[in-house]
Amino acid sequence: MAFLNIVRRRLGFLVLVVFGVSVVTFVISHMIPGDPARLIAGPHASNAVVANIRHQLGLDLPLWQQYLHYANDLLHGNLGVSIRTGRPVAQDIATFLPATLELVVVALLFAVLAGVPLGVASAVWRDRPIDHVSRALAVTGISAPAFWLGLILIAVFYGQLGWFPGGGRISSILVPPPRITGFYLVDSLLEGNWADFVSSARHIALPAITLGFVNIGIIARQIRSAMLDQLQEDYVRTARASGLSRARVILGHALPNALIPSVTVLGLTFGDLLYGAVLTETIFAWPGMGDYVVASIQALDFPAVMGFTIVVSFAYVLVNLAVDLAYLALDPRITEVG
Amino acid sequence: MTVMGRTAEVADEALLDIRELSIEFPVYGGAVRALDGVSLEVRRGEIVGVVGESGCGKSVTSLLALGLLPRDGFRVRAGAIGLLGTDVLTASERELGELRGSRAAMIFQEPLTALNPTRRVGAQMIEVIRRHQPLGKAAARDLAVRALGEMRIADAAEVMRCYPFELSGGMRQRVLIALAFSGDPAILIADEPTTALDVTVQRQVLTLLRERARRSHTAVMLITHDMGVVSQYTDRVYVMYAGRVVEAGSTRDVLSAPAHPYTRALLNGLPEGAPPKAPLRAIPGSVPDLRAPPAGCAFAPRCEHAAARCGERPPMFTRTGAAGHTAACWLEHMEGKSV
Amino acid sequence: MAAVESLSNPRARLRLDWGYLAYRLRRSPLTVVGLLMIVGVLLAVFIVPLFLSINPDKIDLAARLAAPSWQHWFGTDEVGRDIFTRVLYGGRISIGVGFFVVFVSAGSGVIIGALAGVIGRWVDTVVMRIMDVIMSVPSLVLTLALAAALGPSLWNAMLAIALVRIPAYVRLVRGQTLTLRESGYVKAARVFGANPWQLMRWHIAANALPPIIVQATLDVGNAILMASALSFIGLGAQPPTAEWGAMVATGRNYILDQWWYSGFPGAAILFTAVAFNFLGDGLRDLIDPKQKVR
Repeated sequence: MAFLNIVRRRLGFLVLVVFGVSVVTFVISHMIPGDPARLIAGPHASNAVVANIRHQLGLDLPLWQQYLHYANDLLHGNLGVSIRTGRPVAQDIATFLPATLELVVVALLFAVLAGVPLGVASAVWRDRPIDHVSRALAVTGISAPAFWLGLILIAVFYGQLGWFPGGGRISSILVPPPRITGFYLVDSLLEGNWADFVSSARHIALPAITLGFVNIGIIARQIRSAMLDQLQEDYVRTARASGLSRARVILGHALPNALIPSVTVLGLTFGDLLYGAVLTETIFAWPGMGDYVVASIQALDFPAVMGFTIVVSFAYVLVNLAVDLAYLALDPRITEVG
Repeated sequence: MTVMGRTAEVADEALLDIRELSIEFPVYGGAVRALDGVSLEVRRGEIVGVVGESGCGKSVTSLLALGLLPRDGFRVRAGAIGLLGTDVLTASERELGELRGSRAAMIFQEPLTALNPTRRVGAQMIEVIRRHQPLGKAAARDLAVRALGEMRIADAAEVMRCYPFELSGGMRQRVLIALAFSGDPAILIADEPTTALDVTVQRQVLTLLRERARRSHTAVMLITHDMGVVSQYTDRVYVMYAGRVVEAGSTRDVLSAPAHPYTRALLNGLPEGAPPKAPLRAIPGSVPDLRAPPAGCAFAPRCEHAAARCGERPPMFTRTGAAGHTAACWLEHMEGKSV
Repeated sequence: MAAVESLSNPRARLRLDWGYLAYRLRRSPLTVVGLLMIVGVLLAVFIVPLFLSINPDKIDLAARLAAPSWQHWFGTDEVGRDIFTRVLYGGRISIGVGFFVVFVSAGSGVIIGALAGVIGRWVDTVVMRIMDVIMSVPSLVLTLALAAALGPSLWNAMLAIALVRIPAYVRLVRGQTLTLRESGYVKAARVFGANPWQLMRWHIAANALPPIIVQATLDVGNAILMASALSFIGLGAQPPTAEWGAMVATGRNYILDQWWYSGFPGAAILFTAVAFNFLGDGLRDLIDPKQKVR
């Protein structure tokens, strides 16, 4: 019961946030220098033509009315038309989103599998060498420019060693699996196509590592901090006084309790990864939204850039909402107190 | 390092034997002398009180007794701790882990936070029980229910399904005591177990604790700052001040004829003894900074009977009156008695 | 007004125990390492070029794309310019951007946040709602969109990064201000008629400063990373400016054979960002009460 109340409140908050996002993107799109009507008409068009286009685009209406039209469009899923591809932005994003999501999910898995043990070790052996090493590693991850890291990995693992391919989602000689989820790894398994699966896995490895590497540090830091908090709690002392071994107390009690508040960091990590995808996809020629938006930026395709911003913001808010709800579900204290 | 079998314990063999223990904690600018020459013992079946104000070292003593302080956090200057025949200061984690929660148990001050808040009480009890005894889940659960029953907890099964925050403070402490007794301990160390509870609940919990301990001849080391608790529940008592033991003896002797000025001042300060409307007698001054403990008697700066000798050297233990009643005071010593 | 004057003099409170500081620093070697790294970078980038006669724009077509050697420590680029020199000069831009961005965002954020907290009432509500709205968009995406909207130039990139960072400081300071506003000495000062500006000077200087310094230190590193990322995409510094990110971008075409072109400028970014993160983390540990050593 209390849970439902919380859900309702958060959904209300979600609506407010989406509204806020739409205002922000609206404001930004009006900061773009230059006259969109003139841009479309071309430099040689007469003023009458430009005025006509401006009227058609609704640009001669007062600002608040323009916003209403804009919001209305958004509610109907209309994100405008891409200047570069000529297709509706919404359609473009739907086409390229799965590739990015797949990359982000694998990167997140990698970051978690590497970051959590690192964080635990850091906390348990605080101030010992392993703590310093792991913190140095974590900081390096956060400080490494993702685009540079990707290039170095390509140079080493593709250029020198030839272990991994240098770009793309799948080998160009193979046919991609039929699109059920849009995730090559999943779709190829569903199709039973082993060759596709292996090729997709090999292609996703380097980009995922590059993308995830940055977040190993963030996750490790969060786990370390949460673990340190838990290890100071009285129940740890009780457990040890009851004869439970250190390993059992750390892994069986402290870590699960530390993971609960750490779940919220996953939401932030997701936002980081979405942004990181922008840089990583460019380097690895990964046909996802990041690649799309960079190309759009370079082509000054503002509807596409704004569309990307809105979609990513919305996804970010949704993920954070899901994460918050998961946290509520995991911690028995909060569900009860409501 | 042998751990003696229960049957081999002789009536006055010390289960916990702390001898001349001096411990310090390194800090910025030196070290804090938390314990200085502390000697204390707990024998089978008795309830021993350790009383003193905050910071006197009583909690540190209890944590050390079970080896719960991380070894790299303190330095042993002298002394030894024997727990059920094991040398705690040099024993391995594994050996200590065998003792803790089974033959040597401990309960703490804050029942609120003593249990993992995200696990049910029953699950936590079963985990500890199964760590020490080869029982299946069902058998362990039965044992837990029985242990809870001994602490007069009515709906044991119901309580086991609860999360810690769903229980009251007194209830939680009874659960913890039940858990401590589930391993059939020879000695139980209780570090201010009722300080955080309501006064009415305090009596209830302490009475239950005493009953249960008597029934299984479990020795109890009861740490408290409350003289009232000492007088009602303990057989013997140690009075500590600034990391040293200043007086020791049977409770009756110490409370009726306190030999050390500090003990006397503590008893004088009790509201029960004061005449109505008179101001309560507090001890002037404050506890010494243990980073630079005084050369002589630790209490000398605040003692109204202090003589020159008191400031020079730490006093030795002197027997006063009844057998087993000793106090570390030059005044007693000067009166010609010595141990 | 004497009471207010003494209250608003922060110097009375800030006493630095150097011995204790040294003790804490010894237990946190990474902090010292970070500090040394920063000093090293600053020297290399701002001071060293004054003494060496090197020119980042000098073209030498005979030595195009040369591998690192004694003459060209970091190799040369596609028109024969010495990459080491360009990295040093580019450092001035990148690091300058970092400091500028933090100065602007922390400066404005702190003032806005403090005023909002101190004045309170509807001003506070309005300001915080605006900040919330800005923060509801993932900051990195917002920076991207803003920089794209403003147009590709280093100046616009700096502006975008700075603007997006302001809410973080506003929140930080406002939180501190709210707590302190209720404290005894601030209330007393108000009774004596202190105006918002005087109150603001007091808590910023004495209490809110440490977390702000920590955040600012970390942000310098982040700003450098962000600026170079924007340059990489084409939104920040434009070639032939020797900005680190732009250099990595141009070097991308040669990555397989001439790894040094992208390699060294990127390594410079990494080195600098690591340095600021070490220092910032260390400072955070120093002021964190949980870490107070016995």
